[in-house]
Amino acid sequence: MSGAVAGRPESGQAAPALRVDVTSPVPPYEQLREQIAGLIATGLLPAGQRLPSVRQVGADLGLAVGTVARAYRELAQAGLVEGGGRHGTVVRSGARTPADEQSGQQALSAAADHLAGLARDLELSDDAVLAVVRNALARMTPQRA
Amino acid sequence: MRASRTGLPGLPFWVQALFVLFEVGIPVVLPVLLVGATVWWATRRARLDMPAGLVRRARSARLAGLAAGLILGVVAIRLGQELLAPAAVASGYLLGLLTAELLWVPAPTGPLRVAAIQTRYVRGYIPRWSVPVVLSAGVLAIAVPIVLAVLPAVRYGPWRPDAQYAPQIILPGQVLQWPAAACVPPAALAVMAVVVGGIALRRVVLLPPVAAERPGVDERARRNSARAVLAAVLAIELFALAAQAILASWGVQVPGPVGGPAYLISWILFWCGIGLAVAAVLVWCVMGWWKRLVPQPPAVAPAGPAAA
Repeated sequence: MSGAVAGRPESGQAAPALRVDVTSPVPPYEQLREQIAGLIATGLLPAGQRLPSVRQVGADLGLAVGTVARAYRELAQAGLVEGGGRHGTVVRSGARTPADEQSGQQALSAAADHLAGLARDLELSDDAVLAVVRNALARMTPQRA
Repeated sequence: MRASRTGLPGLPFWVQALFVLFEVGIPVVLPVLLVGATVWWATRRARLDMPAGLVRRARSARLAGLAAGLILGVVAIRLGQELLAPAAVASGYLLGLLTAELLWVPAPTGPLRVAAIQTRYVRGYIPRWSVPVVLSAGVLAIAVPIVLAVLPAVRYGPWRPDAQYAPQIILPGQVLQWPAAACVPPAALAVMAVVVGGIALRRVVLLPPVAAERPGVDERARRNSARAVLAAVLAIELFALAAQAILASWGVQVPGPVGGPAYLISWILFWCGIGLAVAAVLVWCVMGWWKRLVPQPPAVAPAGPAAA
């Protein structure tokens, strides 16, 4: 069990909190989704951490179970959490967090800059460069039977 | 009823009144009074530093459950199930607790609501030893009628009820006779207690935070409620086992003044039954006590990044 049992905390670490403003124009499920995604991105919710059941979160926040379930479902669709059955919902290991995606975008942008500079040095046309990129992408794509 | 010359009821009235007092008082009224006094003392507002709503909720649920149990106990006696009466009282108490957990849940109010991302488990609110004890007692309660049904050496004593009135349970292929048949209702009550108690404990875990400004209060309220449910479950199981032990003691009673090993076993079983009943009342009172010990609450971190 990765999560601390209530009344028997396994560590002295503080439990992160969810805050929902029911007067906000942002729907409660979106507030929950944003906060949990942010906690996963910053590492406050590590991989394998069990999230409270939708019933518990709904009871604690005075929200409908369906509202919490929707937030969990969208997190699962984003690849941040998995499960949701008898064993509960847990943070996915190796989940692509927003921080991961940001650093990946930066690396890709740097590689594209390098490729564009090389193409200009070789005086290649844009179409020729794009054709090379398409061929490389096609080679990297797994072949389907 | 015939009154005496002085206007007072006659001796038969007083004998009957004493009999009713004994019959209803010992198995029903005595546990109700003891547990009721415990509930009243333990939930006195002046002694508690908890929100009044939580105290009122706990007290009302327990006292209403006791009232329901009182009715169930009297009904059990009226139906001729005197040995089941204490377990019926505890069952009413348990149903009162379950009703409160299902219907009387304080809802979070206010525009800004906070919840810790921490999974709460039933096992976090009950003692470690309680699960194996509850399950063992339940299995034992189920095993008793089975053992009595297959035990070939049971010899019935002078208290064996007439075959005409002895309870029987018709099963596919055979008929379950007394005393095995009489031990089935206590076993059913014990199983009911485990099932209802499990449902109630799952609901206790869902009790929302009602005192966010005072960390630890919610955890303590959940722990007190869980201990009350556990106390009722254990009391029902012990009462059921007590009834079965007394019934079994009648089953092995050997007639005659000489006695023998079966006679000794019979008396051991009888006093085991009495001891189990006393233990049930003690467990019920002590475990349902409102603990004042403040557990170390889980610290709550500042707001999540998206809420900042």
